[in-house]
Amino acid sequence: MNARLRSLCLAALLPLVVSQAAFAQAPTPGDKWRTTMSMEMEGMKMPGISTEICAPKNATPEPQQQENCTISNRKRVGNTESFDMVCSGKEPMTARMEMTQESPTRWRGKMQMKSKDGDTTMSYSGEKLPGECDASEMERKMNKMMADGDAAAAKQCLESAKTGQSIFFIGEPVMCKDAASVKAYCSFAQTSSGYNALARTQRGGARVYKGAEAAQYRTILASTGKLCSFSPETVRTQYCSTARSKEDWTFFAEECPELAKPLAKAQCAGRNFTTPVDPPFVKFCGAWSAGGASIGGGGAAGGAATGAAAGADGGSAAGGAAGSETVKVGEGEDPQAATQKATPASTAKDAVLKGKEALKGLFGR
Amino acid sequence: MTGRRAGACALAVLVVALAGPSTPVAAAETKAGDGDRPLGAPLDLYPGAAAAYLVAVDGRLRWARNADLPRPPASLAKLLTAVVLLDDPRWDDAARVEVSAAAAAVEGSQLGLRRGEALRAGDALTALLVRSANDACLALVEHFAGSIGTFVERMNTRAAALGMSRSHFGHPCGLDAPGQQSTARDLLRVAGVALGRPAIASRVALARAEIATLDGRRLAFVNGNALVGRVDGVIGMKSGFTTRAGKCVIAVAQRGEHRVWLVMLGAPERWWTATGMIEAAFAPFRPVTP
Repeated sequence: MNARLRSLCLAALLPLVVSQAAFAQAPTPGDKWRTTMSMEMEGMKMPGISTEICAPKNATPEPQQQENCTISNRKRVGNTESFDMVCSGKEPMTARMEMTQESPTRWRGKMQMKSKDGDTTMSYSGEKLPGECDASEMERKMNKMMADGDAAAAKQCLESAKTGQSIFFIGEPVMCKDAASVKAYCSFAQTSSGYNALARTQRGGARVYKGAEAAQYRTILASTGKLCSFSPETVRTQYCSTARSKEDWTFFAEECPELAKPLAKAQCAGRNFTTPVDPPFVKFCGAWSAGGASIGGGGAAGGAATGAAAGADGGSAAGGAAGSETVKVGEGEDPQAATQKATPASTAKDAVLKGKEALKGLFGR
Repeated sequence: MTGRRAGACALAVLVVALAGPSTPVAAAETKAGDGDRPLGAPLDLYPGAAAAYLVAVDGRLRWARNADLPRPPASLAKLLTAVVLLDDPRWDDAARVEVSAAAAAVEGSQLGLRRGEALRAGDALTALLVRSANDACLALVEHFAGSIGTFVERMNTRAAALGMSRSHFGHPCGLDAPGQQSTARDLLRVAGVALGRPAIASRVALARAEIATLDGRRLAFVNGNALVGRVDGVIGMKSGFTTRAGKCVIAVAQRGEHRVWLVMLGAPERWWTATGMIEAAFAPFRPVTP
């Protein structure tokens, strides 16, 4: 059953809940009704479903307007009201509906629909029950649910903003538009870690996805800049100018390759991890190495390629000497070069070759 | 329903769909709230880092690649070995553990224990966890289980109880064995449990250690996990290597109220890359202004 049919079924079950009760916040005197709906579709008959509802006193059944639908040919003959409905859009259909008020306490109706899913006939009836009720209670509950939903969505938007989930703020559809969350997102995007996070998402998403999705990821920074009225390149340059002095190494290594590359050559090239390195440069060299791994995909073709002896996690420690592997910084691609070259289709072999090329470029060997 | 409300509902559905269980570390499920991850899955931000890896920040999976891909765990298996040993009701730090000929001759990383030597169980556990010593590992296994086979059964039972559904262990010390495999996610699970054991947590945090055999021979060694003592906040865990597994490491780092877990399997450049990934994981908690 398509979405419109479901919607119409719901409408058919609730023909008495009409505009009189809509938006009512104070209790509205109402009568209890039992409605029963059965459906026949393509020769299949489904058992009737009964629901108790509360309708405003003296309410008369009214057709409920559906999105993308027009009602025409509305007529009343005696106690029977009828109309035609034509719906367009993704789920086009036509329908003919009749409702008959048999007595003040009983009504029945039928809706015949034609859609791409075939012909469907819905029969329904209503019977007034003893007792009174509050006809606006459901509306109040629905309003509260919607308000709670809006509040939860606003809260989620704010959280998403503070953690830079760009997908909620740019692209289509934009889910978070409220001023507070947009402001928070824009503030985040202009911090160093925020810019870095968005840039990573841009690089990673463009690498992982294809087609339109990849295109959307490729423009995260540009779209964010447009939304927030800032120039991503200006922000990047600004942070790059201070990242080294502020030891913002992850940003420096990943976003400022033109500055980081010479430093990597001077401080990281050929360094064994277990030999003393100035503490700040341990972090920088790690960030540079991870930056290469983050973009290039080079060198992770599996452990067998290392070719060392089985179980030799450092060798014998007898006598106090700890075996330590020789680890050099720089394996993997030059981040800037990789940004231009990497494609989702790159093979591990290609990546290793690219990594080797990048190494040559970086360390001159 | 208005567009706004449709959007709100869609957002709510997304939030519900993405919100994972909040079990810290062990589950490391995905959750919305990460600028570096597209919807639906953690972003593989470091495709060149390892054949399989994951980074969890404050109990939430942040970046991952092949987190559920079975791979040889190498000596990372020793974390489960340590948990199983400590689970044994007969465990006693002071228990006398003798080194058999088989233990003394075991392949791979060794402390250099000699056949017939004895040492305290607690010291052997230190060597197992800090030095990744296979001779100490096998001596403990033989002492508490009698045989490798019996101990391996205990490991697999314990792994199943921990929900390590894609893991199977074939050697208590992590040496390559037929059918032996685990995943980054499963290993994170046992690592979380191991860190909860003070006897393990206190040992894996040591940058270096010294023990003595019962006849007084002193053995000093440094932690095989090179991150300990070198990277801010790293409070330990385990390294491993075999030909099949490649270089592996589990590291946990704590800075302030934030905790980062890193698991890398088959990582050609593990130390430097791990350092950078840990830094990157903490970076959002260190706002920098221009």
